[in-house]
Amino acid sequence: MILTLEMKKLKRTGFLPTIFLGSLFACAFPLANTALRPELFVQQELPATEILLNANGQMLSMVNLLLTVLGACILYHTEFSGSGIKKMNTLPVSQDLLFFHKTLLLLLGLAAAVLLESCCLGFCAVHWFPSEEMLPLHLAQHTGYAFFLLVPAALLMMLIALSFENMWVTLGVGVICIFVSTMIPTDTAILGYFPFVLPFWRFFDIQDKETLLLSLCICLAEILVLMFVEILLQKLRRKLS
Amino acid sequence: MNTIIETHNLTKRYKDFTAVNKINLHIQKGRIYGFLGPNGAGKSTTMKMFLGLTAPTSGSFSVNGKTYPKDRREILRETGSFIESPAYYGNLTGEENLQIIQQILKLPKSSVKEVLELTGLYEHRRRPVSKYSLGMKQRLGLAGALMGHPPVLILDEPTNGLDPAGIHEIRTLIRSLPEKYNCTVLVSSHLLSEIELMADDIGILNHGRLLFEGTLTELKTHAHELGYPSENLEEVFLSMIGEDNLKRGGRK
Amino acid sequence: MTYIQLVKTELTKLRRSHIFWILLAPVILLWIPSFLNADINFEATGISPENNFFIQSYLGFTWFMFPASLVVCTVLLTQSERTNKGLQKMLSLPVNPQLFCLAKFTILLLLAAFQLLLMGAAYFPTAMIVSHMQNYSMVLPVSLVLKESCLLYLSAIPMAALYWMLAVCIHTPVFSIGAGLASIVPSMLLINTKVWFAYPVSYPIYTLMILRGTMENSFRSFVMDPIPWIPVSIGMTLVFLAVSCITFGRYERR
Repeated sequence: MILTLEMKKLKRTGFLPTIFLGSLFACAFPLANTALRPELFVQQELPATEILLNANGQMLSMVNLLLTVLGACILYHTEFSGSGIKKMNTLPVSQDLLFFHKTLLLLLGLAAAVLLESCCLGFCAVHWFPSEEMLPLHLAQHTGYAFFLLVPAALLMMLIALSFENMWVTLGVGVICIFVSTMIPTDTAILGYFPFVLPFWRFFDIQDKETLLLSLCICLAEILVLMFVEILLQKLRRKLS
Repeated sequence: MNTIIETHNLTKRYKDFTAVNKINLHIQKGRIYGFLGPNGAGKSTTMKMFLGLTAPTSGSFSVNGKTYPKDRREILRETGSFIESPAYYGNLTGEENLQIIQQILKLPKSSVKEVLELTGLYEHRRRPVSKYSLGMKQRLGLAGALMGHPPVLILDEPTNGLDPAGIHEIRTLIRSLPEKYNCTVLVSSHLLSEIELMADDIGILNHGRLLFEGTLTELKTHAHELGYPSENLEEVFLSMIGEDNLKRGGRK
Repeated sequence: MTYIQLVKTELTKLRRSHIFWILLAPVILLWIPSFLNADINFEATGISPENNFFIQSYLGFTWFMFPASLVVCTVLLTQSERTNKGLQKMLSLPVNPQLFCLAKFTILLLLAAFQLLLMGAAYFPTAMIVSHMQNYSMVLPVSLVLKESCLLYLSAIPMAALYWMLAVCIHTPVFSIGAGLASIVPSMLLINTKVWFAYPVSYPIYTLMILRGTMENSFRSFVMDPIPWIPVSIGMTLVFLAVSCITFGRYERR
């Protein structure tokens, strides 16, 4: 029930258009990049998905992070701008539940974006690399991995949005986080596992099973920790109010 | 008579400032209780504590036999509230805003239409709330509080920002509620004239302390005993506040 | 009111708007990693450590932080008018809306200049400390830093005009910021194409790449071709400003 309510709250906020236009924008990168200079890519001896991601992966990750930041801003701005959240606090409904449903909506939006981007990669692959055989498997691997690694960033961003009533602060923190993470290479120890750096990891860059497993475990651990932090934050908030 | 809201030495302190100081309220079932006091007296803080929006520093309270923080959720289910400036989702229409409350409280769909009509917002139901006038937002807040006929209604200055006709209308509406829905109303205001026309019982608050609690007639008798001019209640109120401020060493 | 007076009133509106911190924060944030990773500069081949230190730090600034700060500034400038109906009040006064719009754009340019100044001001102390730490002089001549800052500034004007137009035309702040930030993403990709001059956001980074080309042997050289760059950029700037002036305040005067 809460999910439908949260969906209703998103009406006219521009959440869906943002996600949709954002992912279309992301799709434009592989399309334009490959269409403008196909000779640069078609002769490489790598799986098509890998070639395409080497050329556009970073841009796609950045757009996805940008969508995460904007999405989180929109989701909580509608609560704070007219003090709707105050009304929610006077109703018999759990604040944690509201948060997790909002996050779920953001994740659904991001999943749609990642999926659309993968479809576009698939199209590019079929169009410019017709001899590719392993395409569906590669695409599925990339999509699943890319989405899962985006989850901690989404949770963290939602936490930031929940913490600041002023949307500009949320946005500022988000933009700075994106910027800092573009400066950190993914193979940096510890910092490479920062939630905003994780989306820059790519399935095909990982050579061995251990690293892959480690990245997935760390991602899962971050998700659990962030969820726990959310519950603590809400408790603290009620105490301090 | 049975009390529905009761407080015991309820206190709220912010660092070195005491917003609410050991107050003991007794709000009787089925009546309208007027909560009176100048701005910053602690009315809103007290009401927020009833809704669990802020935690008491010490003391306790019960609403309909339920205590905080144990039964917070239950208290919220049985209490309709309207706190300070109206809270709403500006991007949604008035109707959609109320539908959210309706679904959380698991009420029938018809309850939305009912409160829209009751507060005179029915014809504006399809407009986004961001386009509403202040008075309309105020009515919407009131409509949200009335959803599902809660046994307890907590209204913080519900007539703020309304025009004289609107004030009269809302006042008549509040006046009719206990009889219509068999509920108890706690309504605050800084105007005695306002409370006088609405409330059965009165509690006067100043600087976080409860100066008086009782019926209007009792207030008049009380004032007479203390030598205040009792023919005009507004004057009684102002004298009481002034006297209290003097005692506290402040200026009149 | 004359243009100068309008600019002055606009400057007073900036008081207590925290805009100073918005401009300062990215600069500080940028120098911390360059400061911490100063030893990396010695690993690069084909470029001297001091040049590498300068280029790498300024690269982070021009490619993301500078445009992002401008986007935030434009939205802050328009929103400070729109919340609480300040713009409505201004339009009810005898002020030419077009001139008013240009005055606000001037403020944006001043803010951009200020941030570049901050960036330059932070460069010298950082470079001096790093020189001391590494026992190697990292400080480049003042004239070079000054010249590059001026070039970066000039090349950023069309971009500033673009962002100003976006902020004036797109009313919902989240969208104008979103559009602005999204426009930054492809700039790195576009400077490597033949049509880079059609995209104002890539101008500053292209300018910096020209300098990098002269400093780094193995680096592909970016050439400074005044034609068609200069006419195209001037034309675009004028179009962006014209559109903003026409649109400015239209919503309030409906």
